[in-house]
Parts: sequence; structure tokens; C-alpha cells
Amino acid sequence: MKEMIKLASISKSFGNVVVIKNLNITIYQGEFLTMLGPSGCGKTTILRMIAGFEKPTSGEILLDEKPVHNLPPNKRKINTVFQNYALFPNMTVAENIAFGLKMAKVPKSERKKRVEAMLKLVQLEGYENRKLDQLSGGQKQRIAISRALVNQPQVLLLDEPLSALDLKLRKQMQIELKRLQRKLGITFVYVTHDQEEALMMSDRIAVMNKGHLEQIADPQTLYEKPGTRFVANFIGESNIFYGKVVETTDDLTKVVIENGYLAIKSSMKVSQNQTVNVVVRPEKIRLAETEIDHFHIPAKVSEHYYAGNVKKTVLKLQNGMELKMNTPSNQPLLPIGKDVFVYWDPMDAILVKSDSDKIFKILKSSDFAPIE
Amino acid sequence: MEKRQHKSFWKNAFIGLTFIFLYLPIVVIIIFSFNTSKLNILFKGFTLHWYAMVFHNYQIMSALGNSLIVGAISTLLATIIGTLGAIGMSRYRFPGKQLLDKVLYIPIVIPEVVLGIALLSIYSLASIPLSLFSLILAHVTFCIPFVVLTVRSRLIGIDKSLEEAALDLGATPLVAFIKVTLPLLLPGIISGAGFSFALSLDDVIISFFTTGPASTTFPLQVYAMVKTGITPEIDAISTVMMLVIVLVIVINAVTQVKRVKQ
Repeated sequence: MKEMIKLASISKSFGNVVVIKNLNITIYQGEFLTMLGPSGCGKTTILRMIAGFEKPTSGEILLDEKPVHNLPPNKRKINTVFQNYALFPNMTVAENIAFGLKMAKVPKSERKKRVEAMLKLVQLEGYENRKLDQLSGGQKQRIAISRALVNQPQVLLLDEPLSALDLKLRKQMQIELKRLQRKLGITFVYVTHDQEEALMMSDRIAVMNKGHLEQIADPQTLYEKPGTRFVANFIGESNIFYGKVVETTDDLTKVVIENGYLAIKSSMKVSQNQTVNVVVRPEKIRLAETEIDHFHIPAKVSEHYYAGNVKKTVLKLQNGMELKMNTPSNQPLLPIGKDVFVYWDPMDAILVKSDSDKIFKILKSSDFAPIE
Repeated sequence: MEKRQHKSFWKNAFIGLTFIFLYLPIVVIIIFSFNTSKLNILFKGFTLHWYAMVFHNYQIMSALGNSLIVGAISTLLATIIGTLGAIGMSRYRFPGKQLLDKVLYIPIVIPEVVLGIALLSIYSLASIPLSLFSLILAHVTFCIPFVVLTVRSRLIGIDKSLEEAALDLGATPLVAFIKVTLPLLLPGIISGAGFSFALSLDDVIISFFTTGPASTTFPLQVYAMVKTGITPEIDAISTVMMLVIVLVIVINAVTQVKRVKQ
């Protein structure tokens, strides 16, 4: 695959505040890459550096193997779809879309043709002479996308483009955008804080946290094999247990946690006494009335919530920790207040290396129940 | 039902009285400008004599000419300087920006007499003769803050990402400014210019200190004439001025209604 954008050891500071720390990301041609992270993680700054609105403090940005980090935005074959559309209010729809072509001195007749073709692509034929205040949010969004795409950029940057739309329209635009990207084969770099949006649309997702890259992988890998605790927490819902490995065989890793123990099957190499995080998704949690082999996690059914396709249950552990469990809506629920034992298929849990040994500095090893 | 009528009677009476209070003096001036008597006491008969007098009065006409020249030039200069200042002050960071922000209000809040005297003493220090030039300089001084304020408040409402979008689409910074920011700024610039022209046109106090004998402005001329009593001539000038202003307001309103309808 051809490298389209390469961020090589990029750092960025505003004054004394370091926003991006030594970032390395390669984005391939035709890829839909999403920068995902909470607000303030630096994802928008990365986008602005690729667009040329900000200069990296150090490091290089290569576009199509040529360095561009010293070029102004108007000299890069990259276009941006802004969060609030940033359409020019003093121009009609057609004038907005044709702006980039006009700047590139494309002749008038061709401009007209390409604007028409763009409007057709986003299903807004005949809207040329509309004023912006005659358009709905979704229509403005499509015009903003057309205005960027008409210049046939090598890369399209999208900064939370759907955040201003209501839920239903947003879902619809997600599918439309993805279709558009597949059809055109242009590299999309998409910024969002919405993990569901990221999972649905992206070929790969770069999860950012406090200015560094946590993990970059395809959506399924991120969800099923999160590399860090942060990723496990940020992508999808999860229950995370801190623990210490007490026994590891080819088949099973046994982990002791506060007030209990659990089992997990993982290909990750761990050694005895290593501290780990064990991630279990809410839909993987099972309940039993009697204890199951290798597990000892007593809990009490605490609350039920109805959420359409699933019912959400909160389980309370003895130490006060709460677990999230999802049950398909058509399945019966256990009554509130019932004492149960939590377990899961050891294949369904995910082992994530612990970021710190903090918890074990607080707890003495004698606090843990002995293992039979 | 009766009570409601009662209420609306008082409401209408209040509105009516307010209008009478506001416009009666103006109506009186208009009426007496057509009076054949030279005294503003009794209406004796209808005439257009005073209007003819005004247009043949060399002093009044040259003062009006001076006012228009000063108004036009100082508006042009204040608008250019003020607009650039507003853009610079809101888009760039520079040392002393905070201070400039505060200092800007001084010509607005300072008593006009003080500004007038200050300008006069500067002119005499720098030995600038009192003339149309010194008058224009003074008017530019007190008009700039008004332009900066109106343009800046407009600028705050303009999304910064619009200019970035233009750059992103291949425009140079200058083209981005001319094609995107300037058209959006125009209403602010126009109202700032309108403000300046109006301020310049009816300024008395500062003009009094900064003008020379050969460059009397229209308000100063009227002021001088009033010293010897209010004549129908003055009524006539006032009526003409009022007519011009009302005409401008009506034209403005009509074009705006048209634009909204489009």
C-alpha cells in the first residue's frame, strides 16, 4: 500500500503546554483513518497540522512522500471539512463549491460542470442558486463536503463533521460518508470523540490520549484486543478488573483480584506475580447461582435498565465495585437483590498489561484470598 | 371588556403624548420656516422666501460646503484607519494590546471641551495653522474609536474558520480577506462610516476649538446666527436638513425591506 501521509516524530507545544508528544502515524492511500479520543487529546491539533493551520514544533509531515510541514495551507493538496461547516455566508451554494476551482483558475465552463457533478454526487441537484440560510444542517454538511471534494484533494480532512447534526441524521450521514469514501477512493482522515461513529466508519482507528497514541488498529482489533487499559475503557463499554497473575498454564491464566479470583485464556505472555488488567465486555458477563470452576466473584443484582435491544444490569461486588452486564431483551432477568456468582467464558476476557502497580502498593499481598 | 378599553385608552394617550413631546418642536420649526413674519411668534402667511434666502446666502452655503468636505474626508480616513485597527486588534497579539483596548475609549468618554482644548494646544505647539486641515485631523481623531468599535463587534461575530476555509481551498491570505472577511465586515464598516459622518457633520464643540476663520462649518455658522435671534432662515435650513435625513432613512428602509423580501 502506498503511503499518503506520514507523521514522523511530530511534537507540538503551545507556549509551555505540550499538546502532542513524539507522534508517528502512517496513513495509506484510500484509507479511512479516524483519530479518536476525548476532548483535549490533541486529535484536532493533528488535523490542523496536516491541513497547515498549525506548524509542528518538531518532526516532519510527508504528503505523498514529499515534506509539506513548511507549506501554507493553500499550497497543499489537502482539503478540510470543518466542524461548523465554515461555508461562506455571502455566497450561494454554487459559489461556495466553486471557490477552490476559482482559486485554481479553472475556466468558468468547467467550473460549472464540476459543481453540477458534485451536487449530483451529494444528491442536491438544482441547488446551485440557493442561499445558505435556505438549507438544513444536513444539506449544509453535504455542501461543505462537496466544496472540499470538488478540488480532487489527495486527502480529505474531516473535523467532527457530524457533531452538529441530530442523532438520526448523523447515523444517515455516517453511512453516506462511508459510501462516498469507498466510491471515490480518497484518503479520509476523520476526527471524532464518538467511538461508535469511529468503529462504524473507519478502516483503522488511532486512539489518542493526552497527546500520545495509545493504539492504532482496525475497529475489530481495537474492540476485541485493546492494547491498553485506556483503549479498553474508551472503546465500547467494559468491566476492568485489576489483578495479579498467580498461575499460568498453556490453557488458562489465573488472576487474583480483590475479594476473589478469575480465569482468562489469552495468548499474551505473562509471568507469575505480574499485575494485569482483565477486561470483560458487558455482553460477555454470565451469572450462576453456584460457584463455577476457576471463578470466585460473588455479587448482588443491584439495578436493571431497559435499553431497547438489550437490558442493562448493574451488579455490585462485595468491595463496592459495580459491573455492567447486558442481556438480550428477550431473555429473563434475575430479581434485584439476588446473590449470584459472576463468571464468563475464559476466551471472552481480554488481558491488558497494567499501566501501573499502584493498586498493589496500596494492598498487601496478604489481603488476597489463597488459591486452592 | 370595558376595563380593557379603558386600559388601551391610557396606553394610546401615553404613546400620543410621547410623540407630541418628541416631534412638536420639530413641527413648529417646519411651520415657521414658511412664515411671512420675521418673528417666530405668530403665523401670518405662507411663503418660500426664506428658502430662497438660504440658498443665496453665501456664508451658509460655504459653511455647508466646508461641513460636507470635512465630513467626507474625515469619514474616509477614520473608516480606513479604524477598520484596519479593528482587524489588527482582534486578530493579532502584540505588546500593549490591553493598553490600547482601554485607551481607545478615551476620545469617547472624555468631555468634548477637553478634547477640543487638547487638540488646540497640540496644534499651537506643533504650529499647525487652524484651517480645514486641522479640522479634518480633529474629526478623524474622535471618529476612529467609533469605527473601531462597530467594526470590531461585527468581526467578533465572524467565524475564524471561514478565513481558514478560504486558505484551505487555495486562497492566499490577502484573497481570503478580500473575498470572505471583507464582504462580511461591510455592514459594520458602513455603519461605522455612517456614525463618523453624522458625528462630524453636527460637531460643534471640538470644531469650535480647531477651526480657522476661513473654515467655519455649518453647525458653527448656525450657532453664530442664533446669537442674534432665531430667524425663519434658520428654520428653513433646519427643515432642509431634516428632509435630507428623513429621505436617507426612508431609502435605507426601503432597500432593506427589498433585500429581506428577496
